[in-house]
Amino acid sequence: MLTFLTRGKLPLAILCAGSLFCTADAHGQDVTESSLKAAFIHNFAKFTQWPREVLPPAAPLLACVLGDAAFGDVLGSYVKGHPIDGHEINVSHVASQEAARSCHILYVSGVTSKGAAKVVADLNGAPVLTLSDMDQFAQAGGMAQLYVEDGRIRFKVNIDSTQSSRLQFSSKLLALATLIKK
Amino acid sequence: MTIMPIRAFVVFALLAVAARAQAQQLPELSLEELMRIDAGRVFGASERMQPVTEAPASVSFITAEDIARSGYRTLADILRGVRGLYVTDDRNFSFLGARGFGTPGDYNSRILLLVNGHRVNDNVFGQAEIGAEFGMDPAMFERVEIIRGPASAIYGDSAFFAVVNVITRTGASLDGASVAVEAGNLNTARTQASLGRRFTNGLDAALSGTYERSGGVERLYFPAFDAPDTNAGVADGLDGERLGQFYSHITFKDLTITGTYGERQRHVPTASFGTAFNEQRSPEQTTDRHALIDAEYARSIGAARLVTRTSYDRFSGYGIYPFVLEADKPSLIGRNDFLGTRWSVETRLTRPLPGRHVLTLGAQFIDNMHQDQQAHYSQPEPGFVPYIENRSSTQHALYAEDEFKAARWLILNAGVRYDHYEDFRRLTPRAAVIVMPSHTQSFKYLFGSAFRAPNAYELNSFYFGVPNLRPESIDTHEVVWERYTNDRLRTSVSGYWYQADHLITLRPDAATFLGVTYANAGHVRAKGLELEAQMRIKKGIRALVSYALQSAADQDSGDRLTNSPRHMLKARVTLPGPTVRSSLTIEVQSLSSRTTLAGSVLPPAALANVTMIQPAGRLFELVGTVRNLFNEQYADPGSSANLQDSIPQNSRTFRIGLRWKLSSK
Repeated sequence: MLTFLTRGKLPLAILCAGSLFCTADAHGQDVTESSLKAAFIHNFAKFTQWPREVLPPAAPLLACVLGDAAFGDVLGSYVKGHPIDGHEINVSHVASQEAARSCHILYVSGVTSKGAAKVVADLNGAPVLTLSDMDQFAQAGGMAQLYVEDGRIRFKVNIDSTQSSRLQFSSKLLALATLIKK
Repeated sequence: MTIMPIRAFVVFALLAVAARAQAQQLPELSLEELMRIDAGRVFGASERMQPVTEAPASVSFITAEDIARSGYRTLADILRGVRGLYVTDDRNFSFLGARGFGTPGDYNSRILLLVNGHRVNDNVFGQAEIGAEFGMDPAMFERVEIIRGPASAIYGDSAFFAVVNVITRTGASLDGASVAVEAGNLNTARTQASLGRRFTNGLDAALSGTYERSGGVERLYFPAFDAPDTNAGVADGLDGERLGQFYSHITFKDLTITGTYGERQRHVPTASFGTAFNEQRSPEQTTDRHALIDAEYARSIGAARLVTRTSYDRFSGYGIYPFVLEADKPSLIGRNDFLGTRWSVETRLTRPLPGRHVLTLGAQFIDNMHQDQQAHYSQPEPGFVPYIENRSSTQHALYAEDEFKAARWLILNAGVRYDHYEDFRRLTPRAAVIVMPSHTQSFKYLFGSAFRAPNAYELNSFYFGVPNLRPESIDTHEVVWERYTNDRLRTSVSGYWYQADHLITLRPDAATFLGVTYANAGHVRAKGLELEAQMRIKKGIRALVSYALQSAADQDSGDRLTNSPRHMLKARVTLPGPTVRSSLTIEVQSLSSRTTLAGSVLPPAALANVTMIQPAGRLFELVGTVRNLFNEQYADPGSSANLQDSIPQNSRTFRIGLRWKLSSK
């Protein structure tokens, strides 16, 4: 029986060893939703261009969180040591809309839908990338909204909101987004 | 038997080697790769989407990707790989064991099976069909959620040991056309075709059909029938089955309509219920059909969500049972028919309330229009009277659940459901305390009750006399610790103990037609420990390892339950293959010894399955699966319907298939 085992397992072992050098693929239940959302925000930062006067070269990129403070901690530890194009990312928690004006990214979560709509209206035209995981955020004028479909994270981008803001989203990002207008 | 640890060791060694490789961090993944990662949400724990860490249950799920890569062809294949679950096959139906409870002859009525949150246990036997008899193709499953523990506080009847919720695929998920053909040993051939798309106007449509036939094992030897006049115990060519499955799913705006039909016809080689062995002219066989139409209207009103649905289920089928009354005379052929139809209406409101509460309120009405059983025989014989037992019943229920996020680190969850049946009423509670010291860790204490109502089959007065049955009940306590480490490792530890009382149990009764009757006689005490680790390793290698220790005993005798393995060890490793999108999945599942009804001990069994997927060009994909790779000879315990104390299971089987897929983009 042992000889049979060896005979059976050896080709498998070789296959396994060989596959270490093969293509990547990822999925599973091994990541928290918060970490995943942080990864999406990180990617949004990667694929967005801010006007030079708003984000000079090598200046830190300020990512703000309005509402869910726990998520701010997750985002903070996620982006640590992962700068984008020489921009260190600083995460801070903001309590007011005035403070949000100085952010490059504003992530809104766990506030009332009225509150979210008010923030969006207030930042209309400002070079702040507004992001949220709240329902109807993009329809209400937010730039990008994370949502879960078929168990995975997807995102919507409100084209009109981004165009009025002087931010440039890469075509790669837009190709993967569900685009909405208004 | 001794090789079982060796095999397990080989797998764990393999895992250890793989785990040494540097893990792939989230920031290294592309946006496309991130969009393939599961967000770890579960629907079925509270009838709304919530993170697994916040759900009032210990949850596992299997995704469409896992199903494809593991070559799963039935729901039973999927569940065999899940921590703490085991499947018993009597070469007719597949039965699910959970938490050490898998009494042979039980029609899976203590597991609630849902399709998109809708109950599909039939309303005659209460059966959750998980084998080929389940009328849906796993290729149409987006994910399968396993919610452990009692959930009658949400779902009522049958949510006793676990809830299995199958979430089906949308047009967007299918995204294009696909045709697959497959052939294997045991004369197996399968074809499946699907079509799906989400259109720009928001209409989403999915359509699929499957046909499979299998000759089964050519010659099955049963020592219990080894006699000259029963073909020396060999059932010749009586193991075949064929099935057809149809699935459609349409969503437009807030309305979703699902329609499914499945039919499975199977020969039964075991000569169950005292039928003639190796009968060739009118072999024992069963046919099961399920048709479902389900319409769901879901609307968001501000932050609240209102879901209203109405469903119609039709379960029907029959069994052919040949009996030999006198040697050299033609057999007496019995035919049993059943028909269950059920119409249900349900409405549910989920609404955040001030003070960090989320409240869910629901109401349900079920009309069991038919719960009919009948039997007749090919020729009139004294003592064999045909019978017709037609039933119908209605029931309704109200339920409420509140989730209170008392603090950033603390969730309190409580629910209760009131069930009103014609013969009894029931109030079922559930409560949970969930402590989350950080977003990567959660500790849960869960308490839940559940009940199972006597079903129409158990109340069949022709078979079992007039049993005076009440619902059976269970109380479960559970502690769960879930932890995520470095975004690549999830570990879960759970311990539970339960007491199940008034279990509806088969008892000898010479006065009844079948010589047995049902009584509220079983009392079971059980405890268990489950461990699970899921990891994502460099270059897309993924691994899942689980171990379950369970001890379930009959309270009166103190004996370990029949068909209750003490240990279960499982592993699944998926490795990328030599080219893009190719993969190799290896599974090992092992069960320790189990006792049979007659009290004998079945040796431990370890099975290994391997599936390889290899794309060929842009449009084609080759799939090969070998199940029971090492050709382990093993058996599952038989039930009281079987003369055999144990039923031998399949040796090594293989399938090879070709899939053509045209994406709509």
